[in-house]
Amino acid sequence: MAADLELTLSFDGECWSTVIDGHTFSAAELPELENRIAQAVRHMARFQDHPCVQVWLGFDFDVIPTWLRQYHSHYFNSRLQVTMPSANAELPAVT
Amino acid sequence: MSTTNRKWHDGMLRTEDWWAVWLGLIMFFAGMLSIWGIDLVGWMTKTKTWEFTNLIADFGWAKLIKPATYSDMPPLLSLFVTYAVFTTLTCIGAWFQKLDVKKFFIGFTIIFVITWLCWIIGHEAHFKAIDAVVKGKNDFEKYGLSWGLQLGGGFSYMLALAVGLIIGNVFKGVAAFLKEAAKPEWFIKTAIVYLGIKLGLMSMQSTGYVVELALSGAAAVFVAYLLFWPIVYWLARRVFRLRRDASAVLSSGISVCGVSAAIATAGAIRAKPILPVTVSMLIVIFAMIELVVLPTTYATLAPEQPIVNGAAMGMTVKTDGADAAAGAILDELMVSRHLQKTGEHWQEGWILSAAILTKIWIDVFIGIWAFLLAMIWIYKVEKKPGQLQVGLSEIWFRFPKFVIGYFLAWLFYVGIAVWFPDAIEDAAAGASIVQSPMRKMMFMLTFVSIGIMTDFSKLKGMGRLAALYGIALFLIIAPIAYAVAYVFHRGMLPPLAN
Repeated sequence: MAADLELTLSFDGECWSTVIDGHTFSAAELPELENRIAQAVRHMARFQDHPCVQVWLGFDFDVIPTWLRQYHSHYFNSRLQVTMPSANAELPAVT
Repeated sequence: MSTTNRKWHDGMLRTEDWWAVWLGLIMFFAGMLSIWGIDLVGWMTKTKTWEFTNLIADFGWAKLIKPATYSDMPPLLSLFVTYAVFTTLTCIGAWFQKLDVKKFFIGFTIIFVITWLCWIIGHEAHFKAIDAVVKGKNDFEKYGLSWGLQLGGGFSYMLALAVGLIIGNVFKGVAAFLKEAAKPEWFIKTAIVYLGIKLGLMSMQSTGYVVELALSGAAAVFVAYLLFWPIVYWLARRVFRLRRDASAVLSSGISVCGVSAAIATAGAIRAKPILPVTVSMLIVIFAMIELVVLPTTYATLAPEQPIVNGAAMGMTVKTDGADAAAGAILDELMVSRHLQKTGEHWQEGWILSAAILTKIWIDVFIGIWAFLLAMIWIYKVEKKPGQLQVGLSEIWFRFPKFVIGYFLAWLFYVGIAVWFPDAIEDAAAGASIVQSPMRKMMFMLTFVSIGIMTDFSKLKGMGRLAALYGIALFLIIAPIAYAVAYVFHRGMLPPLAN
């Protein structure tokens, strides 16, 4: 199934990060970043009529040091399913 | 610009794993043309056994090297063509892999020169010649030797490794520069594709033996994943009190297939990338220790169990490069010692093939193992079922692609033996150049590169992890691997050379 939104995950040695519509989101732990992504998606106007949004997360393998890439060429991809709130629900602010 | 795997064909031009397949298949096809009488690989340089005083008295390159079949080609020209062909191919690969091509070119050239110097020196008769009759001649007597190490081709490998290690640990500035071109995994995976050709040729002669070797290697999968992994994980959690993610990554690295397993597992459990990087440094260093210690130990302690030793090596030594390198040294040591002791000449390559076939079985399943771990992590550890999904495509992205080249080459020659037996002789002519001097050169490049990549000072500050690694390796993995290899392979001997 095609994803509604495709994002590239990066890691700078301390924090995970991704860019959504030009805005960078980052967090020390991956579940925390995924919560922020979910929050951001729930605020996006283009998904308001979706009951659920599929977000594809692909890890940027360029983050892995060059000397190590010869041993393996993939870290992970995953898919985050964001359930959209009902039309009347009040959304928390995006952080 | 980021690099992510999205489609099944992503990485075909970008990863060293696929480039091992391309380099392997290019030479495979070039060698295959001998079936139609076309010799496209005869320029490849071969080393010759030489004797020091004889060379000093009357120097000539023809005493040291020669072209494989282009007998009119001057030896130095043959070496230059060998350099030009492999430098061009690897530089093209480096460009697609987004490496610094200029740095790669210079680095590869230096590594190539070191490789050939070590290879030629290793063929000096005092190091290589064995006091036994092979193909109707005794090299020891032929060169009039009064002493000799009688190591066969093993001395070249050991010398290349020693020179690489000296560069990696003493001349660290040089090593840092050469690292762009020091790609032991790329070189060894290419060599393993070439080895597929050798296995194909071996299958033509002893099909049943090869099949038995290949199938019994499957036992290694159960041992690595279902025996080693849980034991090491338990040890890491209960005795060394490591975190769950560190324990899983380290267990895969130690028990399964080294660095690639550590990265695959860390990705599957979505650990911070810093974790597999740290664990990988440890694995590379320990793989080197295994490579130095195990071949001599096995060859000395069990000289009559060559295939057991090879298979045990495949289960014990982590990283493809170190395993194949250790298998190659073991092969040379055991064949030459057996020849020296009994006058019986085992065919070269069977012990190495036992080591590699066992390892490949383990490699192939890493994608499935990582997928299972990912499921366990999502459902049991992070407890996010339904919210987070992992696609089956992850198994393919983690599948070692060089294995495709290895099996293609192998099955092609098996096919010739089965359907076109009349073409065997012509097919073997080209294939033997690819699977022998070319494969050995890739092994030599691996030995030099793996030494350059290994910096023992990186062990500093890794006390607890290193202790766990050492205990797991020498007290758990090595003994169990040997016992399992013994059960499946005891008494199996390589066929005798003609």
